[in-house]
Amino acid sequence: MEWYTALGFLLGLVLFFMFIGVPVALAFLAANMVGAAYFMGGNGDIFTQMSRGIGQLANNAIPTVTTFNLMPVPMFLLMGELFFFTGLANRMFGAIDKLMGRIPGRLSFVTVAGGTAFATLSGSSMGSTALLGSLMVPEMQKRGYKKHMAIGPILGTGGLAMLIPPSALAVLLATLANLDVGQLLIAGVIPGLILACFYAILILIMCLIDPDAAPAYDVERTSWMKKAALFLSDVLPMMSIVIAVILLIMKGWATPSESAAFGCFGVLILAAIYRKLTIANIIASVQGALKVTVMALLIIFGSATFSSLLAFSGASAGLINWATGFELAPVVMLLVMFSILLVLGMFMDQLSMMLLTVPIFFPLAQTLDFNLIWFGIIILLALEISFTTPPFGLLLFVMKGVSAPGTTMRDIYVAALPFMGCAILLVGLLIIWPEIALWLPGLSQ
Amino acid sequence: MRLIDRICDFLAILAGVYLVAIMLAIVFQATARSFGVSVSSHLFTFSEYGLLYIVMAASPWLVRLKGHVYIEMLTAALPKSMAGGFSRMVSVLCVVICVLLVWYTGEATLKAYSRSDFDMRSLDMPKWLLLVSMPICFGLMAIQFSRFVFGDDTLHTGEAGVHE
Repeated sequence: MEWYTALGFLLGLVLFFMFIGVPVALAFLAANMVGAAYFMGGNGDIFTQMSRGIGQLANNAIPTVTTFNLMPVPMFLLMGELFFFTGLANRMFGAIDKLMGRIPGRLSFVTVAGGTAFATLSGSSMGSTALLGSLMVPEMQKRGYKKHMAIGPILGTGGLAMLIPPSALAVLLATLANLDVGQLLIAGVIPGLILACFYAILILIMCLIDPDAAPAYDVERTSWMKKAALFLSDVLPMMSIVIAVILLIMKGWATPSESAAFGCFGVLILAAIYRKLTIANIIASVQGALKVTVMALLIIFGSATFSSLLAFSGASAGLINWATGFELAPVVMLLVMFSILLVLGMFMDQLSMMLLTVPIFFPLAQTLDFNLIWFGIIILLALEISFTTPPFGLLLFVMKGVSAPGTTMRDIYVAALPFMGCAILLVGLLIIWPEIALWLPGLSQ
Repeated sequence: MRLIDRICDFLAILAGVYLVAIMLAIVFQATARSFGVSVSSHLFTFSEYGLLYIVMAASPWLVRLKGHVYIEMLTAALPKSMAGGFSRMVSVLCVVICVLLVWYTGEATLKAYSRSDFDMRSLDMPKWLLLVSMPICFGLMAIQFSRFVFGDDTLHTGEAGVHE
């Protein structure tokens, strides 16, 4: 079979099953069953081929799922859920709200500052967006904020969870692309913080252009002493855990998996100190972490053979030879890959996009001599942008779910666009100055 | 069906307990190492195997909660009168995929048992002990998906987007 027929056959099968509404994990499993029977089943009747192919698939899935590299995924998720269910995240958010003075667009800034902090704590874009949406939108509406000023910052900062560690998606990407998990996590810190600054600047500009969009209002005055006490009691301890996790990885004192487990343990201790640790909170946190972990790892399980099939059928090598045959400048190739991810993000979830593209994009990036950690950050940014890409970006729907009645999808699309622009600007800066992503990992080497 | 639901709930509870145990085991192991105390490397290996067991144990429970991510495009585009029937057909396909997986992963388990295959890490784990989780998981998943074929509720909501 020609490489393009094999590629079309394998990708087509996955996309077909996804399109008709089969859960993503089963879509990959079904396509892999057919592909494994055809390409790996050898000779014999269809049942013999199925037996060999699916047997191979089951055996391949064991090393793919049972790797210590994947351990930060459940640990980061558990850490985020514990922060959320014990009320520590809300406590920190409340403190940030009080620390912010009387400024125009105050609640939008609170969203960016609190959202960035919460995104780092939770590692889950969906959780972050849902929390920010339900917490901030009603308050913003009460204060007369226009819809785009309420929705946009929430969508923007929700996506930051993917970039700033602890990010479960970054761990998955690193595992799938055989990258150093710790290096990729650390590489996301500076771009994530720059993006948060871009959002703050954008809000400032929007407030200057249209002061009525986010009117200023009186807030209770808090003395500097009180503010300092609030910072020390309700912000610093929570942020210390995240900083400790990052430092443990950066300094090489612990593996990312160990750092993540320490992060979880740290939240448990912190919650106990604040007298917020109850059996009910622990059960709810474990349940939340379990749901996302199982969903993500079953997809990884289902796709275990997919990259092998692409390689075995000659599809990966054929596509890479074909793509490099055009002799386009590497930056053009990068933009083509970036655009493909944006298009896929319009109707697909992030993990499926990664599983479909990583086996093709990363070998191609290697051929083009890209630094793979830097490339990983660009991919994460593309995933982040695609999360808010109309019409089906997942965060758009989460936002719709927590927005006030009468908010249309169009309102949400319009609010998302300027914040998407900030992320695209960051991609441009990363292309010009790759050190933005590579400087911090370089220090830890 | 109630018995199956209880089995799925029980397996999900086991998965949750395993998850917490892994977290505590990693903290214990890393702390002991930093104090120069060596801990059995089996702890590390069982944490890795735990990922497979957790996924296999909790997946059927997640089917019932509609927690496995899926994309709604076609079911959302179809007229309401057809969408329900189509959703049930997709659920039948899910049942078929799971049943095929039960059969062939079951066969792989028996092969691994008869050949005495091992997964060699810090300890030699009989491979069938890992593989056997698959037919059990997919069997229970098939039963849970059949709920969306014959029950009142359907897998799809009719609203376009990515659902999880």
